Amino acid sequence: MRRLFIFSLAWFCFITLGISAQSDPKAGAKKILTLRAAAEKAKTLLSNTSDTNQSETKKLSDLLSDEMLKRVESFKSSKRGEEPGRKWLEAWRLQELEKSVNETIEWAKEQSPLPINRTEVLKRAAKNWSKEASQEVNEYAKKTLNMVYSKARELASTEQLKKLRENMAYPSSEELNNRVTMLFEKTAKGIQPLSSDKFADLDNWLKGMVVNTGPVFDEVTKKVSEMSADFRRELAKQYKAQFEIIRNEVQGNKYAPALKARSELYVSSLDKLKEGIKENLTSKPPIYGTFKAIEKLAERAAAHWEAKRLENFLKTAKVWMPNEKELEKDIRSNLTKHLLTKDSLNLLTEKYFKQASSLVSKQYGGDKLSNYFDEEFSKAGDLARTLTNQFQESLKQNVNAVRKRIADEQFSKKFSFLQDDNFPEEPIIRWYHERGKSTVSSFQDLADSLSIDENGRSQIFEETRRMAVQKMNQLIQPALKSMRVQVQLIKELEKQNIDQLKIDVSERIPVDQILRKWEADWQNTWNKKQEQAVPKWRSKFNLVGEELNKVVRQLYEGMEYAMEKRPSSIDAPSEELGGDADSSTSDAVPTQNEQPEPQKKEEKPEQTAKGGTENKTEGITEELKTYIGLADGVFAFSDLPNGRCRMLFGAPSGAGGFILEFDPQNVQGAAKLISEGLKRPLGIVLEKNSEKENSGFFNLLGSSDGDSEIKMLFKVSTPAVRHQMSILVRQQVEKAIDEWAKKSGRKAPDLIWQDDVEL
Amino acid sequence: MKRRKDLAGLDHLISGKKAKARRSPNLSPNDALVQVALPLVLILAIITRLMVIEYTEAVRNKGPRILEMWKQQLILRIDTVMDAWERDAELSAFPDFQRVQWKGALPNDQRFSTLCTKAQEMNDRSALQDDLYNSALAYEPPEGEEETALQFITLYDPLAKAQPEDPSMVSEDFVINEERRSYALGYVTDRVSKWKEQVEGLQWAAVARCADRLPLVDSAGKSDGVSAQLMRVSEELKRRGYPLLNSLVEEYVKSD
Repeated sequence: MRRLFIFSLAWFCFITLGISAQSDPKAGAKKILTLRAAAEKAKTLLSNTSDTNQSETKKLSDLLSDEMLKRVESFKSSKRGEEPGRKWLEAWRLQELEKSVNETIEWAKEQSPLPINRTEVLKRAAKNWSKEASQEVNEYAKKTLNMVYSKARELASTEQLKKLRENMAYPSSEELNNRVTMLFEKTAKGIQPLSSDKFADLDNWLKGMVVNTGPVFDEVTKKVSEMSADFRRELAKQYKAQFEIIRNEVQGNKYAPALKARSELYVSSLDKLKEGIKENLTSKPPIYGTFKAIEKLAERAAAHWEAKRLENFLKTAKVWMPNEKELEKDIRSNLTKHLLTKDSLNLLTEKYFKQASSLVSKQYGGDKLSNYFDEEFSKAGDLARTLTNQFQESLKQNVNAVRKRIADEQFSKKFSFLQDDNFPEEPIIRWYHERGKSTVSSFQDLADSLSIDENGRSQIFEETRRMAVQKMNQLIQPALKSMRVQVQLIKELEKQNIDQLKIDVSERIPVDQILRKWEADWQNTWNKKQEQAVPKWRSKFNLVGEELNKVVRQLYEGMEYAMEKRPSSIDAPSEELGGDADSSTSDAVPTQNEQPEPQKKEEKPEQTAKGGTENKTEGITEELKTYIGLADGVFAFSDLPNGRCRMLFGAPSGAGGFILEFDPQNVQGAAKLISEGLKRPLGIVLEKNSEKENSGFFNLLGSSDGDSEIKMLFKVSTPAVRHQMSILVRQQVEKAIDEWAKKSGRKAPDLIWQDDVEL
Repeated sequence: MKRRKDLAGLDHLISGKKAKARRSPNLSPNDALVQVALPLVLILAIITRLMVIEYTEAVRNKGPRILEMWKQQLILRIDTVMDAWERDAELSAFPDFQRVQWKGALPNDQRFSTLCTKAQEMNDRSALQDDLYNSALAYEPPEGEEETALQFITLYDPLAKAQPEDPSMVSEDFVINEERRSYALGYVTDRVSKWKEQVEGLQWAAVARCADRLPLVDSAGKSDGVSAQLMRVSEELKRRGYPLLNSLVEEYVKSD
């Protein structure tokens, strides 16, 4: 009953207070005003969506980036991450709105004397608060996303990358040093440091540092793959920074001037490195101490500059070298041993080097380092090499000066005849002409041509020899050219007069008369061409008369013989080969002719040449090589043990080489055999000659007028083959050249025919 | 039997168990609330009200029934003047707020407008009271009402604005001295206070109604406090001819 009374009393008080409160218009008005103010505040919060200031953008970016880092999978892709980003912004905005509304309600409760209900406030602020709030946050998220998302993503990816970098398993100092040192030793040359791009060789190894990153943003994925490359660049940067500390020393020899030994130079560099590098292996990425590779570079530089410093000393100080007087005395005391500069240098080095080495050790090393340098000079190292080189260089200068003086003396004494106006006489010129030489190529030639005996040659310095050869060339080259042109005129004359000669022979005109006529023709032609020669060498050489005489008489005899055999034919020279009429028997069948298929042999002349064994081929090539420099094609006739003859043909290079056996007594058969056998090899030789001409590397004929030439040597080492054979073969060769030119469409080269009859 | 119950009660006390409360099997708490408590509360409220009325009447009837002449004359004159003021202000038309005519969110009532306008005089209460006092002393009944005019005797207050033509002719009983003036002004003040209380009540109720019904203002991102809301409603009412008392308008200024 008592409880019931208390309850009733409480109820009465509540009702009474309620009634009194409601009857107080002031309190009621204040409540309504407060509700209104709160509602306006809430409405303002709701409509206050669009303005996102810079500080709020930054704050949101930070918050969203945190969210991204928490949910990397959802935000992995930039594009697909926008939707969760927008949703997060909506949620954030809704939460912020709720918070602001709550604050407003609390504020309203403080302002009003009567209780304030949240629902009342929200009902006044919006028709449908939850719906409008939802629309507002949606709109806010849409508007803000563009401003916030990219920045947040950038922050998140930067943070993620930073953490990944911090979690990287950086290599230990020892491990890294092994790799870098290996790289340095493999690629760096001399005192050059490793270039930054060389560090790329470490990429495969460095990739192992990036392990188990877990889910990462797409843009970070690429950077993760570049992390090892970034670290590599960092390494290269650290390496370069270390190198910069000692660059002046390593590349500029900027050591203290007093330092000479490599150990001193090396220690100087190490001290600088120690002072300049602050190792911090705990930082990310670690800052490594001095790389072993840098130490090795400093070591190399120390060795390099030790030698260079010595070299500078040797170049400036000459007291350690023997003087010129000493050297001249040594050379003059035994000229025979000093013929060559090389020998001089060797002999003098052998004599003076030890003395010089000892002097350098004392003067350069001083008391402190003389023993060290002595030891170094005795070993085969850089210092010994530097000393040797400098010694030889200095010695060479001095020796050359001395030798020049001696050579001048020798030249003026022993080759004074070269200054004579009558030099060279025709026999000397003919000596070179007959050997197909257009220049004096060696002192040996010079000495042979001038018949200087061995004793005379034994004390002539190489410098003297060169001077003599040079002078000789100046004198003899114009003479040789004139002689060559004069002899060439005979050949032209021969072509020009051959038909007339046939008629003259058929009319039985005496050979002497014909010869005079030919001499007159030659002189006429020469008169027109002699301006090509220098004035000194415009007179007719005796050789011309002799050659004219020989040619006319041989042709005459040959044609006379042919006419006796076939008086009606004037083509005999091209059909027959030289030889005695008596000896032209039917059993003179060449070996080649005995073959059942001569056509086959024509196609493969080299097979014929090969005979049966390869040794024979090699023999041909080797034999042809002996004519290198003498001609473009060679006909070499020699005897065989079985009484037959052998003709070797081919270019000195071996092209078109083949061997033919024939019976020298059977002139007809031999002619036919040679004619058939030559067709293909001659073509090959012509082709080769043409290629060589075109290649332009050299011209065996020494032609300077641009026209191509082919030089054929007709070498006869058997008495069975006469000069007539040369004429007939030459005619066939000329014919073949013309045919080849027509067929190939090229210009026919001028044929230079050179007889060399040993017997 | 009774002893056994007492012993059981002692056991319960010792063991800490309370004796089960005996409840009426036919009366639930809701029944108790509806059937007993509410009527009881109503009875108590009625009794309380009756006691208050009785006490008020007792106090009113405590003074002497027959007043002194100067006092009668003062009350007569003051009541006459103040009744006239009440009529002019249409105060008696609004014993409660329900009498005010409304259209939409704002009042549409000429008499309420008159009241609000007239009530502005209360903003300077001392002036109004002084004016009422002087008016009461100077009051002369309209011509033609000779019977009524006989009731009014000239009063002389040397400090009043209006003075009789010949103050020496005024009996000493009708001269207003300090004490009598104080009484007169007290009387005026009491009645003005009631007016003010009534007007304030009406105006607060009007403010509440306006604030409740007027649309919210788009404050363009700047939200105002309660004071601003009151000012806005006050301005709106004033613009329409319903000026509020300063004591209302300055409600939050004071608290600030």
